[in-house]
Amino acid sequence: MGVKTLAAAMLVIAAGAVGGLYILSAPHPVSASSLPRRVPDLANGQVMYNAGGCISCHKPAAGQGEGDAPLPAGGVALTTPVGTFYPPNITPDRDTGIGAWNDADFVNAVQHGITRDGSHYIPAFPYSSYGRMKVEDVLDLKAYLFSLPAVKAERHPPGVLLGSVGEVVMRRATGLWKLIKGDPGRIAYHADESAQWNRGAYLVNAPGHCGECHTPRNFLLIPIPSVMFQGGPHPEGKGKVPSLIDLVGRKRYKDADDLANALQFGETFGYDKLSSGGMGAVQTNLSKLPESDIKAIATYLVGLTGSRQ
Amino acid sequence: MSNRRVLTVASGLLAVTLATSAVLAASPIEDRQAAMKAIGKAMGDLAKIAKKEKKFDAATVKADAQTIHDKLGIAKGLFPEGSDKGHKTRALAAIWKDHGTFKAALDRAEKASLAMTEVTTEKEFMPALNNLGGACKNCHDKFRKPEE
Repeated sequence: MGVKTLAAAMLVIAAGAVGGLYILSAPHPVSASSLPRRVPDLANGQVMYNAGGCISCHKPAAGQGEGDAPLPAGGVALTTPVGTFYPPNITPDRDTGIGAWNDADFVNAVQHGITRDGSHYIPAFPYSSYGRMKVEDVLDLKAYLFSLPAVKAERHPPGVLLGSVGEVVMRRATGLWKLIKGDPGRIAYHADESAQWNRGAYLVNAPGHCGECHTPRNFLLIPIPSVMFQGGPHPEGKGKVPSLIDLVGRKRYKDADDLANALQFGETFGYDKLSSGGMGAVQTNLSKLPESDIKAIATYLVGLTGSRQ
Repeated sequence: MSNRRVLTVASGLLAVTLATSAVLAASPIEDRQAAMKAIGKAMGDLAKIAKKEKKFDAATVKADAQTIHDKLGIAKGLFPEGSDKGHKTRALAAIWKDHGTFKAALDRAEKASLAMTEVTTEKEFMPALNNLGGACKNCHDKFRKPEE
């Protein structure tokens, strides 16, 4: 084999590898016909909205629907280890929000991390957790968002290394990241546990996405299942995210009711542990859930002792 | 007394004075932490009424609210520039970088605690406590590091 032949062969292999990666990293959106028919339940959609903490990241920039009931118009920067992102407007404005989206667009975004133009969302958007939600809950969430007033809000491109080229590469690399991480799967029902515990497990692991911060990640930024909820470095770089394991044994809370009180009432009831490092906003969202859901979350969380998660 | 002796005595006195003042003026970090602890204790007492573990009593509420108000007033003066070091503290640099917002947050808490001292009926209690708790949280959210 001559040098030229060898070089040509290597070029073909390299091209094949790049092509292979390109194919592997392609998004696979779901089709509209695969979705269940559903009369949306707005109240359930609102529960999902608060459990999912949508407003914490999609909060409006100054001067756009702030106040006691802020609208998720987006625009406030989210700083992550891989760049600065501007969570978009998810109010039903047709031009700058999600008003023109159909159900499949929404499910693909929220559960599969796929944009409307068929690219990948950077996983600063916690779709890995939302992927575990029941699709009916996601459709209710969409209906709830569509019931909110539409807000016109300017869009911001993300700030990542190498600008728009970096963004294309990063989005494509996210496809490989999804492959390595695997399908998030659904939340299994544990028949040996109470209905309340199972509801808590669902709320914590699917819409609540607690593990996105409370579970340490490996070098590929994939949460490590063997150390679920054991806490770790703060995603914004200041301090640590506490462990959720053995909260009662470690004397963080007396029992499930004590934790439920903390989540529901926070500092009003003298619980000052939850209002730093971004948890304050989470507590505000959770306080808006029905009391039965707050108790379910607390029941599941105090049951995390390390042996079963 | 010879000049040298005067100098020795004087420098000795100076050393004693400096040492004493260093002991007396504990760091502002420890002082404000003590103030916050006292506030936490008073809040805990009010929370017992909110949780219905204790009966509403206007005098108790007033006393607790007064403690919170007084200690906030003290804590306010205990965040001098540079007091983010020297002792274990959860104070964030934002306190000094965005001092206007920090001061406004403390003022809001002080006002909320003052309003709490004026509560005389059970009906007024929960709204006032919500308002006060919200003020505590507002400041902690922005200006306090998560626990280690």
